[in-house]
Amino acid sequence: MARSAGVGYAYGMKRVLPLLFLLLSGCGGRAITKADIDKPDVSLVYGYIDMKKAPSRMQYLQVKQVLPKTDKPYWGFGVYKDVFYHMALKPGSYQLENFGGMSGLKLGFLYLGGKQFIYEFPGQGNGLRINEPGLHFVGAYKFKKAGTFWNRKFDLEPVKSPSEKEILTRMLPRLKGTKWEAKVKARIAKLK
Amino acid sequence: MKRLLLLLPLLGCAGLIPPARGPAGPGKVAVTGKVRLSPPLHKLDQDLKGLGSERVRNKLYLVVDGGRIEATLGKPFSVHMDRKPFTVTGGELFVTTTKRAYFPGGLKVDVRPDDRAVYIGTIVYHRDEFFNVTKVTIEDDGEQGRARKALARAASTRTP
Repeated sequence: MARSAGVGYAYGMKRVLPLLFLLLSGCGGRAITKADIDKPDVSLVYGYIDMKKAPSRMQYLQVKQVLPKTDKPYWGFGVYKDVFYHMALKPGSYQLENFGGMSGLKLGFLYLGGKQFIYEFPGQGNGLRINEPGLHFVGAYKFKKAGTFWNRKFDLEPVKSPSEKEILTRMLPRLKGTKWEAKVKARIAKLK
Repeated sequence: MKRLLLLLPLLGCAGLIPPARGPAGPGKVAVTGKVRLSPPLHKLDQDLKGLGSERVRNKLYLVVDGGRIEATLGKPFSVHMDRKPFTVTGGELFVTTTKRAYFPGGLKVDVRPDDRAVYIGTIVYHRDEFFNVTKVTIEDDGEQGRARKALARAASTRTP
């Protein structure tokens, strides 16, 4: 993927009823099953965004499949401790679409005083090509505010920390029982 | 509603140069040409939803001095502009109702004081699947009618 994700824009959506917001990790695209994960031609795609400077958490991330063409192009990633991941992406070309989540104080399923934020990637660039199945690291980035109060934007600055090894280690609990657990452990062992 | 509002500045012809009807008036020149993408736009490349969004399907907007030329991809356009040299400073295409792909400019079009019509050729934006522009070329299709060829010169072939 390009070294810099470029400038998109962030905006707060209309206020979501804080008592009724239900978070579905990995929603916003097609749901995947164990059968999907077990297919031999799929990849584990993962990356990291440091959201400390963002107005909200990251609770989902979505990519758009641009090749091969499909009328259902959107894939939702799971998010865990600022690591975004997908366990069953097929070979093709994908473009970062958006990510986002709630602000406010999290009380179980509730977000006190929260608003939903969606950060949109530009419609050009920000692509990822998956040519063969396996592990694909998108990179680690830090969320940076840009633009003005009236024209809010963001940028994602590539960072070296956390390392890929740290990111994989962080994600490992989410891979328990899947075919990726052993492969990720092997990858962690190889990385310095 | 927000998507409609976002499209209105364009659909409301803010800066859009209207298509030519009849001969060019005094001080004006008819400008003809074409724009296409290579590879061509697939019907699924644009994810357009919302009232009025179909208006921008398959259209690339060339940004020129004094406004925008709405070009249907692969089809000739014709507009009347002030009779003086101008520059195509870039292009825009709606990928979704809120996102655009941007195309490089720097194409200078020579218009002479006695020109009544000029033909700029076919601007071809070569791109990858992410709408990154890899190269810009100008083709001379041989179509000109009575228009003088004023083939645009590409000042840059690099993605902005």
